[in-house]
Amino acid sequence: MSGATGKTPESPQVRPSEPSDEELLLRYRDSGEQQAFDHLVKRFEAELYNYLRRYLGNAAMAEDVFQASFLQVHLKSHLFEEGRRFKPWLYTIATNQAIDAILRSGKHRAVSLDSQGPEDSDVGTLVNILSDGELGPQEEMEVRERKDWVRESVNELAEPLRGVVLLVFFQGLKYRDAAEILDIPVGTVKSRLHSALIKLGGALKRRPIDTGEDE
Amino acid sequence: MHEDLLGYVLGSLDEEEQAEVERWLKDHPEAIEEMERLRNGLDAIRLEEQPAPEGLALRTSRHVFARSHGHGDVSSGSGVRRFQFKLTDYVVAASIVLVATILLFPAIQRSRTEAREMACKRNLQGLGVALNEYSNVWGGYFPPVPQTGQFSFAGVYGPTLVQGGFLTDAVALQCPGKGKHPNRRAPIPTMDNIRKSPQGSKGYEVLTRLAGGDYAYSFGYLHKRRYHTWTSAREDHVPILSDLPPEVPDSSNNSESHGGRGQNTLWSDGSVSWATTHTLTGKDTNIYVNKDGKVAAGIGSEDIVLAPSDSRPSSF
Repeated sequence: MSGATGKTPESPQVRPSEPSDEELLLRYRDSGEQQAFDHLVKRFEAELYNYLRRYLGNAAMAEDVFQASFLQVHLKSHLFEEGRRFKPWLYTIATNQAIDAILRSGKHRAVSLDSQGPEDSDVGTLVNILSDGELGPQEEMEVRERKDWVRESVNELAEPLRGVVLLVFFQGLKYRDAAEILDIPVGTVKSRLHSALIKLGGALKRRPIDTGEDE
Repeated sequence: MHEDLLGYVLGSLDEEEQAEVERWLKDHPEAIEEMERLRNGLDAIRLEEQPAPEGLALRTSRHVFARSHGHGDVSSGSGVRRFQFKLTDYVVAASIVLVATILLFPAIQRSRTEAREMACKRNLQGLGVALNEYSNVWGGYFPPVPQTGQFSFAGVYGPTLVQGGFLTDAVALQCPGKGKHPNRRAPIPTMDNIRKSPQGSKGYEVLTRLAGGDYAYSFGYLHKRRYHTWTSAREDHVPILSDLPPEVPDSSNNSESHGGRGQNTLWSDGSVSWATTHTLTGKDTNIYVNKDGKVAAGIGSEDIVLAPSDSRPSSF
C-alpha cells in the first residue's frame, strides 16, 4: 500500500547512480569542484524556484532570492557538517533569504484567513471539508479559476500556517524536515498543516460561484 | 480516524510512522475509502509546478562564480551563416534602423538606464562574494578601515580585496551607471603605492580617491570609546557597500550614480537591494552620515556610515 500522492519527497530527480545532494555539496566544499555546485543548482532549480515563487508571490523576487540562496550555499558550504541533510539546510537558507527580501521590500502581507473557518484539527473534519463529494458547486469551477482561488487563499493564510503548508503540502517535504527548517516541533507542524488545510478547504467552499445564470 | 492519515497521504511521514498507519489501515479497511476522499480533496487544491525561468540555474552559477570567472558571456562563433548584401538591402536596412531608432529611442534610453542599474547590482554582488570570502578567512570581519594612519580611508577595502586575491577583476569596483566620474576605468592603487605616498601629498590624495572605486564603504563604529569593525556574524544584516552618496550626504537626495533615482546597496549577507531612500534600517535614518550628521565613524553599533573612498573615519 502506498500513501504518497505520486510525489517522492526525498530528492525526486536523483537516480540511484547519481551522487546524492550531500555528496555533491561535500565534493564542492572539499575540492571546490564547480561542476558539483552547478549540478546542485540545476537539481533544485524548478523545485526551489516554485517554493520561493509561492512564498514571495512574485516571480522576479523569487528569481533574486533563488540566486541569493545559492550564493549563501557557496559562502557557507564550509559550515555544512557531514551527516547533515542538504535539502532542509537549503530550504532553511532560502526561507531566511525570502523573509529578508520581504522585510526589505516592505511588502508585508495582510492576513485574513487566520480568524476564519473551523479550528477542529480532527482528520475526519478535514476529510469532510476537503472531500470531493462535498465540494459540490466547486466541481463546476473552471480548473484555472479554482487554482487562482487556492493561490490567493494560501497567500492569505497567517504566516505560521502558510510556511508549513508550502513546505509539506506543496513541496512534499517530510514533517521532520519542515520542523527542522521552521525550527518548531514535529507536532506543531502537524497541527498547523491540519489547520491550514481546513482553512483552505473552507475558503474554497465559501467562494462565491458564478453559475452564469441570469436572475 | 488515524491522526497521521493526512501525513500518510502526503508522504510526509517517517518510515516507521508510515508502517504504523499501514498496519492500522489493515485493521480498519473502512478507512481506505475515507483516505481516497481525502486524497481527491487534496488533489483539488494542489497547485501545479511551473517551470523555472529559462537559464535560472546557469545564471545563478555564473552569479556565484562571477568573482573568479569574470562576467562575460561566452558566445560561439561557429555555425554563423554569412549573407551577401546588395546595396538596396543596405538602404532598406538603414531606413528600418533609422525609423526604429526614432520610435524606440525613449525605450532604448530607459532600458540602457535599467541595464546600467543591473550591471551595478551585479558588480556589488561580485564584491559581496569577495567581502564574504574575506570575512570567512578573517574570523568574520570585513576589511577594516583603521581609525587612524596611512590606511585610514574608506576605499582601503578595494586594494585589500585585490591584493588578498579575493577580487580578481577590479572592474567590479566601478559602477557602470556613473558616467561622469573621473575614477572611471582608472586602475586601483596597490597597498604599496599608498604606503609609499606621504600623507597630505597630492599623490596620496589621488590614490585614496581611486582606491574604493565608485562605491561607498562602511566605516567602523565607536562603542564604549572603542572603534569596532563590522562582521558578517551579526544576525541583523547591515549595509556594507552602496553607490556613492549625493554631494550633500546629510540630505534626502539620492546617489547621483543613477541619476538621483536611488541607490544599490550591498548587505552583509551578500544580497543587494535597490532603495530610493537613505533609511535602510529601522534604527538608522541616513546610511551616509553618522548620528551627528557627519561623514565619520558610526556612533554605536546601530549607526551605519557608508563613505566615499577618500573619507576618513576620524573627523578630528
